[in-house]
Amino acid sequence: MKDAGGAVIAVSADSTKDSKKVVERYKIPFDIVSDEGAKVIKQYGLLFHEPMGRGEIALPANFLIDKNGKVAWRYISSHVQLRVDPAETMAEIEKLLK
Amino acid sequence: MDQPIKKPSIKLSVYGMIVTAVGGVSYFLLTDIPFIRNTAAPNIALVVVGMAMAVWGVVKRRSKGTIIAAGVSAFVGLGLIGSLTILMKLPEAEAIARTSDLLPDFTLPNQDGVPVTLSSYKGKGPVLLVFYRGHW
Repeated sequence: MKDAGGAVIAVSADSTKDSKKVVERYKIPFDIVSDEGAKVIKQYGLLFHEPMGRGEIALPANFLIDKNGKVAWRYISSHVQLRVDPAETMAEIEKLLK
Repeated sequence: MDQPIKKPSIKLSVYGMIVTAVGGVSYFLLTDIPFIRNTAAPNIALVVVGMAMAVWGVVKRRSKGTIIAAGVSAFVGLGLIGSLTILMKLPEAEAIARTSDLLPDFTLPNQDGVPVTLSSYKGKGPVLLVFYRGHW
C-alpha cells in the first residue's frame, strides 16, 4: 500500500499507549490510531450495543478507499466476533492497485 | 338431575402464556445466533401465537386464571416486541458506513501521538481502513 502512495490505518478505541504496545509487540508496520471515546466509530455507525447489556463494542469493518477518497470496497461484520477475511481484503486491494 | 355445565378450562390461556414466555425468553438466550439476533422471526411468531392463544382462552372462559394468564402473556409479548423495536433500530450513522461512497473524515492520534488525517491521502494513494476491536 505504501508503494502506491497510500496507507493502512487501523482504528480502535484503545489509548495511544495501548496501541503503542500492540505496534511494538507485533512489529506492526502501519499506523494504529486511537479513537478514544469511540467518536469516529460512532460516526461510522460501527458501534454495536450488546443486547444483554454487556456494553458497547465496535463491529469489525474494513474499508478500502481509492485515491480519490471514494469507497472501492467495504466489509462490515454482522457480528463482533466475525473478523473480516484477510484473503478477501488482500484480493480487493490487489484489484484496486492493478 | 341437572348436569353442571362444564366450563371451558383455563388451559388454553395458560399454554398461551407459556408459549409467549418461551418466545420471549429464548430470544435473549439465543442472541449469539445471527438469524435470531437479526430477525427474531421464530420468537416473534411464538409470542404472537402465544398471545392469541391466551386471549382466545379468555374469550372462551372469562375467569381470574385466564385473565391473569393473558395479562402475563401480553406483558411478555409486548415487552419482547417493544425491546426488539428499540434494539433493531439502525441508527442513521450505520446507513452511512454501509452505503455512502464518501466516508467521514477524521484526525486521530497514532501510537506515537502523531495525528493522522484520513483525507490527507486523497490524491496520493489508496487507504485500507481497518476497524478492529482492540482491548476495549
